[in-house]
Amino acid sequence: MNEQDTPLSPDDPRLTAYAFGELEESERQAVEAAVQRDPALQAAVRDLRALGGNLASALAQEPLPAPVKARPRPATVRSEFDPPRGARLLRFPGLYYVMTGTAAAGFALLVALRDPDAGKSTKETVRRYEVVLTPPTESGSRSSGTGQASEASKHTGTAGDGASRMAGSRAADPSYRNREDNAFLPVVEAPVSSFAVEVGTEAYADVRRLLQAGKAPPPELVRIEELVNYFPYRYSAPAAEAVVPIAAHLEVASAPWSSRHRLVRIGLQGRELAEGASTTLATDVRFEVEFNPARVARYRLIGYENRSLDRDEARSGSAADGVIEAGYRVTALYEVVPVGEDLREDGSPKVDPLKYTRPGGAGVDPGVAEELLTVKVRYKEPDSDLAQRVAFALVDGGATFEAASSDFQFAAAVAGFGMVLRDSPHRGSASLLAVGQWAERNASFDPGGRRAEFIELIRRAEALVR
Amino acid sequence: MMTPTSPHESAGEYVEAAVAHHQASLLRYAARLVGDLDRARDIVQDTFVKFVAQPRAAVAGHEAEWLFTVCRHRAFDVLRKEGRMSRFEEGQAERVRSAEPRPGVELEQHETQSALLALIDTLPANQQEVIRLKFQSGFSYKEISRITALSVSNVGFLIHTAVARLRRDFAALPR
Repeated sequence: MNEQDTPLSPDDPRLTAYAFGELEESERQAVEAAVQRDPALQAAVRDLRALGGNLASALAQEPLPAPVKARPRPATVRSEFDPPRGARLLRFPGLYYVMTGTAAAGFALLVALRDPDAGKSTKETVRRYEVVLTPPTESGSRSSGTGQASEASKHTGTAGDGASRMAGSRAADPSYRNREDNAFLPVVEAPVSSFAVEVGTEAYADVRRLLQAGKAPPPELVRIEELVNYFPYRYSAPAAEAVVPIAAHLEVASAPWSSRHRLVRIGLQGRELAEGASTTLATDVRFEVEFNPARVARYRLIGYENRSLDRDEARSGSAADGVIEAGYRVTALYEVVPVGEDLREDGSPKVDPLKYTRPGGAGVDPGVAEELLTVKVRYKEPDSDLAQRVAFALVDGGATFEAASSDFQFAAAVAGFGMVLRDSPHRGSASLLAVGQWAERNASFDPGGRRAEFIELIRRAEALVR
Repeated sequence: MMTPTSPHESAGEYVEAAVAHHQASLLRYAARLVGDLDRARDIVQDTFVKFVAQPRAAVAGHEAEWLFTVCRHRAFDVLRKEGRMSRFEEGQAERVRSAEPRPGVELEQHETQSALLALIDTLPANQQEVIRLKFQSGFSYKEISRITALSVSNVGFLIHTAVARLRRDFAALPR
């Protein structure tokens, strides 16, 4: 493939390797030149990449050859595969249920609160707590689920009203400027954060186009959440028969650009399309993240500028509730300043610690005190007026960035890249060189060759951006 | 209670992280090689026992590759011991069984995944292995080459052949 005019057949193994991002640079360029000349090759590459993506998602769902039999093991084998058959449905009669320290690897515990309060009837309150053991979150973090009875009653009367739902949060906000990064918010003042259900990926295409044309993208064009969500990640979907149509994949590790900070990855994955089922999984969907003030001093939602909702909006149910379809997937990243790390650059405490009031002190159940945050998902099943709630809690196991899953590290690289392009005040030690290294180390899962292409974009940016 | 974030975590933490990180994909890989989960568990267990015995410098930076390589050796040891090696080798020549077309069944979008999985099962064992290493475990051709002791171009050829057949068989499914 050194000659410029080497003919290339659509059935050439080099074309397959090219489509999957597996060629060395010189050969890659030669094949690329051939592809650019020949529409048939372009079609073949498209087909190959589509098949590659299908293979990756099919194989991610592949059941094991034999049913999982529980056997005590020193190192608990976590089963991130085969959730459909492995998922266990447990029922708990109590109103309050906490599970921690499940296993070394931990399980994401999913608690569905079927809240009938939204209905008009005055029938007696029926609460059903169903806990589904789903595939665990990835390494470095431990998740536990908490049935939050108090939360359910607190929200009474606000959740049922979906009449004023607005479609298209972005279209509704033509004047967004997206210039300022979301600031760090103190948990004591703003314990609950929210992020948009519907996220596009157009910004990634814009950034790519500009960089490929040799231009530095203007910062306001760089929407980090759209960059991050452009890439596929290996989040397993809830089992077809699971009560809750959405699974959470929570992970926390050091923020690579600011080692005293923690980076939280929230991945939400909808159920895949099941036979005979509607493509719509849920309507009136809202995501909220509640931070534990005993653990978190301040937090910052990365990206989603002008699209996150404040608490009042969230309560009123008036803005940007979303609809999720089968196969839905979203990723949100939060940078978290742990309690005790809340220092200024010069090392002095930002705020004098309170003498008498301990954040989150009284009334917090010891079982939940160790949790970093809880992700709450509110939704309605299609054709139902009943608001459902699911809560996923995350415990920080103290993982280093290097110990985090490769999807986590790659998503961090994409966010870091966005922060560098935006010249974010929060970029810390992130540089193009650093994000290139984080990305390269974690690019081997690459359906469609998107990660390889991203690494190429970082290289292009090096010539344009400081 | 935050752990300091230096890469110089303790040996225990290092091993723990590696176990948490790789055991699931290793187990899946081993289970495919030997065909049953209990045996696969033992193989993965043995693999980590060997991992713990390694000097960290010998594996740092390519833990996944190292683990899969050792896991593969161990799996083949087990198969050889049990006289089941032929199960794997017969796949080298041609497909073990043919795709079962499902006449009359309309292939809806949601069946794509199970159809693909069924087609993967019809591939020769060595093609199945590289396809899974690439698309399930996310290894590059180079890494697969080191795990399987095949040349990179051999890996590329196997994947190419497998993918070409999957494309063809997939297109031929009744819709």
